[in-house]
Amino acid sequence: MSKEKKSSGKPRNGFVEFMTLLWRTKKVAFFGMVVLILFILVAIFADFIAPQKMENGLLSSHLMEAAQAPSLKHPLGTDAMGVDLLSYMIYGARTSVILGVSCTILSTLISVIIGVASAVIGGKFDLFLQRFIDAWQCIPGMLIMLILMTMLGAGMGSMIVVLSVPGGIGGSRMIRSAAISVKDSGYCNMSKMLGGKNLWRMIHHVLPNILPLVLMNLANSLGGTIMMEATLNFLGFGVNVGTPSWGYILTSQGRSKMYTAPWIGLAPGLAITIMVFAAAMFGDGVRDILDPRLKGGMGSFSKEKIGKIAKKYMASKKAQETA
Amino acid sequence: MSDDKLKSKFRPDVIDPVEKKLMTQEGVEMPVDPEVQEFLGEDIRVREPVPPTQSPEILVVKDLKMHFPVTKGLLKRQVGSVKAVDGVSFTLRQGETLGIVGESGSGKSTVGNCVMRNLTPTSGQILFDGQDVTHIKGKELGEFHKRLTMVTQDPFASLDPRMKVRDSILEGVRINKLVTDKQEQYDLVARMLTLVGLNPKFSDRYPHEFSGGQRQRISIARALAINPAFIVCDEIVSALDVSIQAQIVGLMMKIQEELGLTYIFIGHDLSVVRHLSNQVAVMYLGKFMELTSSDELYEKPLHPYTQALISAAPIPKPKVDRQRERILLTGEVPSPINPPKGCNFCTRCKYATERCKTEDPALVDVGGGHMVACHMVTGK
Amino acid sequence: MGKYVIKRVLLLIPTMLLVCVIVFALMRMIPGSAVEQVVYNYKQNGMVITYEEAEAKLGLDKPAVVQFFIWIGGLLRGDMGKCLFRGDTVWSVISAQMPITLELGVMTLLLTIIISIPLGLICAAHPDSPADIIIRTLAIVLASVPVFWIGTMVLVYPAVWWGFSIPLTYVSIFDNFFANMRMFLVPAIVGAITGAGNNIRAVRTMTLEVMRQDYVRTAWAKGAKESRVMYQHAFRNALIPVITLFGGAAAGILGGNVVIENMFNIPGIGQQLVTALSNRDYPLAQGCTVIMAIFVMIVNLVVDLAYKWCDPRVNLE
Repeated sequence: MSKEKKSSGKPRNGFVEFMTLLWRTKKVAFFGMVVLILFILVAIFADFIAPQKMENGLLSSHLMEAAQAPSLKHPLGTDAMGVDLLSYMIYGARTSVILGVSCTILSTLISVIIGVASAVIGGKFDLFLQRFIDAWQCIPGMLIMLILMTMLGAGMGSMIVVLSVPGGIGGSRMIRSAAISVKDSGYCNMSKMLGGKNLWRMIHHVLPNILPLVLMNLANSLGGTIMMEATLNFLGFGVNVGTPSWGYILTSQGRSKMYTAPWIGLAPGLAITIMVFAAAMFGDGVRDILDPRLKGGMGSFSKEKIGKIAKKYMASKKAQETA
Repeated sequence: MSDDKLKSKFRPDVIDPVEKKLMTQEGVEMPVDPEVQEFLGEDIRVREPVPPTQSPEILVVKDLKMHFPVTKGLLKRQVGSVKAVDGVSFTLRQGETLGIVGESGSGKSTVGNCVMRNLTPTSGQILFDGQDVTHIKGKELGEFHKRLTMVTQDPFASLDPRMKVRDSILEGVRINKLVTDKQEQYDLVARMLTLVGLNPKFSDRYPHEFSGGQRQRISIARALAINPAFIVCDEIVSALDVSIQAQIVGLMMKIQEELGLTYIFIGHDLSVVRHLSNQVAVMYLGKFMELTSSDELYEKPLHPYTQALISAAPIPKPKVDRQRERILLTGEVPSPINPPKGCNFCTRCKYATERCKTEDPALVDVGGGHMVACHMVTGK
Repeated sequence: MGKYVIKRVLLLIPTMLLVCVIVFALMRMIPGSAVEQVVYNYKQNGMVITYEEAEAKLGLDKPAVVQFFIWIGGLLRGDMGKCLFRGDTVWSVISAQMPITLELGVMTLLLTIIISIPLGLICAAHPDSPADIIIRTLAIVLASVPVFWIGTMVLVYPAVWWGFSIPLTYVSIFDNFFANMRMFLVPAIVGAITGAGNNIRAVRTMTLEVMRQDYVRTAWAKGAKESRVMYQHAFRNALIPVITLFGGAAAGILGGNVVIENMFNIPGIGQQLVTALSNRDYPLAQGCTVIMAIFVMIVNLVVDLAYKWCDPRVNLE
């Protein structure tokens, strides 16, 4: 008991310790992580796994085999252009993973930079920045993304910017409030008194102390990014045509061939669902471990729990009386 | 004998000087446990007042005022000011301790923060070692903070939970690049931890592994690591258990003797402040009511407010405590935004006259360095 | 309270102005000038217009700052300019589409609330029971499915199987209630179901947070009935964060309407914006965005006021 307590009170720096905790307490989240890792592996080794290889960055079409139902040769069938859907999905995973990982990192980075700078510098800078973010958040995120997408044009690079900038600016709020509470803490004031400049305090106190929140942010924005990519594809914005993307094939062919060739929509739809689901589970688990306050389920007072406590109390009282 | 057992033996009533005096008055001999004495590592006596003009003046504060503006409305119109500190003057010699006592909200911590220059005073002057530090900033302030530092109240907030003890202690050293060699830094940490009575092995641990008293010792070690000449102790024992309080106070005295430090010791526990200080100032609504040597203050309190405070302090001897006369203060502390016109204390003072309500008494020396701000005492 | 409301409304003005600045700046950064598009359009209709003439006609020849103040001045008078490629004024287009978007938004929001609050409360009342686990898993799955995939299935399969299709022309709810519902009910349900996923979980977490409080434990311990503990103590206090949650959701639902409107071909502001953006019709796109932002701002204000009204602890200073 005491051993367990000790390990949970320590600031968890150890990656291994975190993983064991995830495995022990959050099986579903761990499973979500495994699924995500699988997707990443598929993305990395796409060239080795895919039955139909990419040539010059394109998957060649075989019009003779267009829109075939799943068979042994094409386990997921083929699309309207005769491209093997399984290969398309595997290469699409690459796009999703690149987008997901880079957008997650970039948006968290933006949040952290804006939030921490706003909190640490404070004063007029903070005031103005916060008013700006207030205004920014009044414009629905989807609209901002559409405008940005029109501004930057199609392509992987602009997709990364569009998917991370609005989220990053919105997420800076949470980071800022956490950073402010660190900044106002006794140890940060003490550091200031000892001569620590803004930058010193940012690196040595603020960042280490908001790290759990940053990790939570990272884990939670992954699913949203992938979903948003698909949605933007639906609205006609996306990576370059030719780059395999789940969202693109789901929109361009899955929808129009929904009745005649439902398998074209099924595979990317399911893939997006599974990946977002896994990311959500993983994010929830990470949140529960890093921020016990938000944890649902545990620690609430249900009737059963109170009943148990009451029973124990009565039993001990009885034991005392008889003694 | 284990630490715990010692702690349980180490009751505050054994060392409390007020108690000691009362007991000797009653003819009871005061038992001083030799083990307790050993544990503290120093003589348990009220310190001798250092005769004036013995050591050089290190800190001179003249008519210090700190007013915080009160604003209202959208346009932040100033409608008044909180007079947190309103005209405070004192002089502190090297190696001495000035105790500041007062209720919460009396402005005692603000005095500390002004001296630390965490706040820039509205008016007045602060001279540190002959140098005017009232308005310095930037580099000069940095240099100033190498010589003067602070230990704060809450031991749970003052250490970064994600920093090892070693890094916390070394923070000031690293910021100011006082010691750059890694091995020397480690040695310094070990020395500091030993000085504050902790095992040097603790330097790799995180703050949550320590108790409140131990954390406060680490805070002290952090303050000492930059080798300051002056420490402002802002209620450093208020958040601790009584037994731990005595340990920390003892430690502070030991360190002062070893290193020749000067302290401003801010607190609301009269007996603790008395134990440590040469001079004690009693603060009420931003003003010093009485300022004198600590023994004089407790033996011959002149200001009605001081008398009330001393009578309100519990004496850890129930018999004596029940028998003595209590001066109960009635009414509320007036708002520092709108303090009374005359003497700040006149609304609650039972001796208050018409003069007290109109004329603000000055802090006057009534003999032997005993300064009082009261018309009834200074007479005329 | 009245003073507070006035203060909040006044505070909307600077935010509003900033929104205008942001929207204007974003629009101007879009490459691909509208001028070329206009020249091209004229040519299509057999008319000749030079580049400079077109630029002057659109008011794009002046410096950006001047353009901005002209636009803001127009906004203040209720004049948002003219569409570049349609004869109408921006306001007439938006005012025709506003009720459609609003109706869809309100219906989606109401359905989201109807779905997520009871389910969230059921989960919170019996944490870790089979019902809780099933509802939660379902909620996350729903939140993970792309809206337009489900939407397309809803569009395609009923049409093929039962010949049911959603009408394409908008009929006002006051003219023909059933025809209107026939158009809006399905999109609203699709939007609500996919949006409910996150909200169910949020309601559950918030309620559990309340159930962890000491006063709930006290209620159990003093032997109050389950219904009393739940309704009088837990749910009532959970209502406060839940209101804030749906305030935030309201803004999201308006934004998300872009997808639903596009998918079900509902002629709302969201769809208009996508078209305007691809045509580089600045005035129209600017107008749509600003109107949406104003709407979000008003919703936020109402939510804040409701929050203060609900929570006696919040002082109105």
